[in-house]
Amino acid sequence: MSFRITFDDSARDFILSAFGKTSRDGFIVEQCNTKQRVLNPRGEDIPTDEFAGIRKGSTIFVKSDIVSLIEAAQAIEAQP
Amino acid sequence: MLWEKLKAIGINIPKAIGINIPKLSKITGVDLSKLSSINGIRFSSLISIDRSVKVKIENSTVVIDPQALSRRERHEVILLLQKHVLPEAGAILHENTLPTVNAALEALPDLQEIASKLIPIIPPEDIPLLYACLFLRRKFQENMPVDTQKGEIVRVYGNRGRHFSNLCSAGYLETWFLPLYEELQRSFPDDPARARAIFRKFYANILKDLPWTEFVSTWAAPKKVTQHIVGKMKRNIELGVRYLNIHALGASNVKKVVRLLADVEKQTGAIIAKLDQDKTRIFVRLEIPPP
Repeated sequence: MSFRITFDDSARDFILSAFGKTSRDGFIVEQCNTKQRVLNPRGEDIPTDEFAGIRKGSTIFVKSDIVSLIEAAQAIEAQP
Repeated sequence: MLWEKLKAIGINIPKAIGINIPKLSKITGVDLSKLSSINGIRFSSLISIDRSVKVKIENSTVVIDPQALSRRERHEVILLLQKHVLPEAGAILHENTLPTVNAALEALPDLQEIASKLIPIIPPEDIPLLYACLFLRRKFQENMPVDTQKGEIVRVYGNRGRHFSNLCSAGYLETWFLPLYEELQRSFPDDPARARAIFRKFYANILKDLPWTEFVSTWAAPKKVTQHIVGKMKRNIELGVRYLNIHALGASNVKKVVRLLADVEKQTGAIIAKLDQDKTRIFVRLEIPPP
């Protein structure tokens, strides 16, 4: 098994803040402009409880659906 | 490399937990003299009486409590995450996703063979859909539950996603889509762009309407299923397509299909060309004989 970097609910805000984001009114938003929701590559906003992490590729925010998680797995697989 | 960087900003794993390496190795069962045996880092709150505990080892994972770090350490860790951890690991993920992500990582090499044939010919926006459906098919074949994840596909891709998933699970990627494309390539050997354009047209139509297949839903009433099948077959005849394949899963669905076949045959003039069934699944190929 390759190396995994993970977080749990208690560290979610830390991970978000590390990438300039935060949670407001149930959605992931920009820290510097909390009215601006963060979108995934499909253009969908990300409910806080569906935030599954971040993947490489211009820092992509990942939702917890199977389509997004397979894309995250591919990002991990692509690592040398 | 990551360990050296953590150490450089004062997060020295053995020192942070205040135990010498051999003792820690004995307690945790992890040989910390070979930190490469550690297989992950988890960011999580560490509940401890000693508030100086900011890092500890759990099984083969280094757990870092961001709240216990000093302001400077937090800043340094954030820089590490941005500049080294994400680029080197590929992803930073909620721990709840690990079972799915690990299963996907295990499955991906096996999915490549079929995926690599379809990726050049399907619309690029459907490539994630392709992988998700191939992954689900594999889980289904291993008798693992797939309903929740299929619902997620439908939520993302709508009915097209449901149709693609059904077609994939029933084997149509290999038995219909690829042979169709190969046939088009043979028909237009000097014009691959045309072959692909025609394929995409068929593909779009099939994913939109499933014109020659019916995947019977558990929740659909028998009368509605009959109407749907008859309607499709009548439309197909107008286009010169004289068959329809019916797929159903689950004992009650199998009974439902068996009961409605006679009515469909009566209304369309179709005959059962192939019937393959057991208690939990059924496949029926209906064909309308030429006039």
